[in-house]
Amino acid sequence: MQRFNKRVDLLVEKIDEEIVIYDPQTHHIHHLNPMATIVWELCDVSQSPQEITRELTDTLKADPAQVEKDVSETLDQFHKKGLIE
Amino acid sequence: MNLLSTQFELLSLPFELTTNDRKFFNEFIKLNSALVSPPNGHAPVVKYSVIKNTRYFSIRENGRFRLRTTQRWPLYIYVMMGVRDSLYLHVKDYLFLHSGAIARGRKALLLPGPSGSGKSTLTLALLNYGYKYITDEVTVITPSSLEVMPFQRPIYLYEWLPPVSSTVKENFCLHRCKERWRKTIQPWQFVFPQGEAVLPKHSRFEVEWIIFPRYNETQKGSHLRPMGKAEAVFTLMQRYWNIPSLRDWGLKACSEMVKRAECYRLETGDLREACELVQGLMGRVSGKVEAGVLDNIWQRKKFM
Repeated sequence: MQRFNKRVDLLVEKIDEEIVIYDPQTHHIHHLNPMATIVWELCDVSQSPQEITRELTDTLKADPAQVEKDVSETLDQFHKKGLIE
Repeated sequence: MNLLSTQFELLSLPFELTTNDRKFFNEFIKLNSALVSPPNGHAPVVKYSVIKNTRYFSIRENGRFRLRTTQRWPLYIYVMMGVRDSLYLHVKDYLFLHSGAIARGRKALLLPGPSGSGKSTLTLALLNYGYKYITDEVTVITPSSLEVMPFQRPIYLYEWLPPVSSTVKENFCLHRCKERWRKTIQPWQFVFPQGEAVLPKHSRFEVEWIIFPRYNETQKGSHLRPMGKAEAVFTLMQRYWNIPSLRDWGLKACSEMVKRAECYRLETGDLREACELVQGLMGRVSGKVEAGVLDNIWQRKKFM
């Protein structure tokens, strides 16, 4: 089962349902849209992409296949940008 | 060789400049008249020397060679770039934003943006409407109260196009220079405050508005659109000069400043329209802007 470990050194600010992250190692700044913000927050409590998808599908009453695709792409982006390990 | 020397302070950091070129020395003193403070008895931390020999000028910082140029006109800009970098290195107490700033009363408008976004031209043009000049290029924010401090460096533009009316000329000095650059003649213009436009160093301004200008020469009509706060924080964070030294408090300070301010994106290809949109937001101070002063300065540039 896949776990998500957010990097502990990141500086995170939540503003109006969106998140801005500052990476002190690379000095890069990241802006998460509302969907990515929800996925980011669910990374704290969920154990796998499937769990995040299930949680989001229940909350948003959205098409599970579309949610799964979005979650997968978002997590990929988090990995690529080095926000989760 | 007659050496001329001056000492000054910027944000309490002591500097010294030594040169054997009287013309550059006089220009440096004149252009920095509203920016620097007199020395306070501390030994200079950063020393610049600009020495002219038969063929070129050599710029050294604390004895280390930095740059060589055959032209006089970029000397001031090169030295001030070094001064700016020294501030980021030595002065850790302030946030330095890549932004212009003007004020109405105690309320400040920030105009953050990269080079070419039109912020210097817009900052200068807005002075026609009676706003106070705080700074251009480098905006200094105090960390505790998140207020803007005066940092009245000259606004410099690459052309001789003064988008200023006669009332602005009473309180601002337009220093023009024209020098050969490779095979072309390069016109430069420095505009800096004097008399009543010089702000006391202790004055502080609350950030009331943040506008991110974007000049687009193909733009039809000008638009001022509200920005989401998170987007504004994200965009503003990219405009910090000293972001690596801010670490933990930079993001917090930035988001706090954005939360307190109204944030907009300005897209424009017409200077007068842009100024009128900003004036609609900040309120009118004064100002009869003479006909023709602001008419499509950006468009005119292309034909010179």
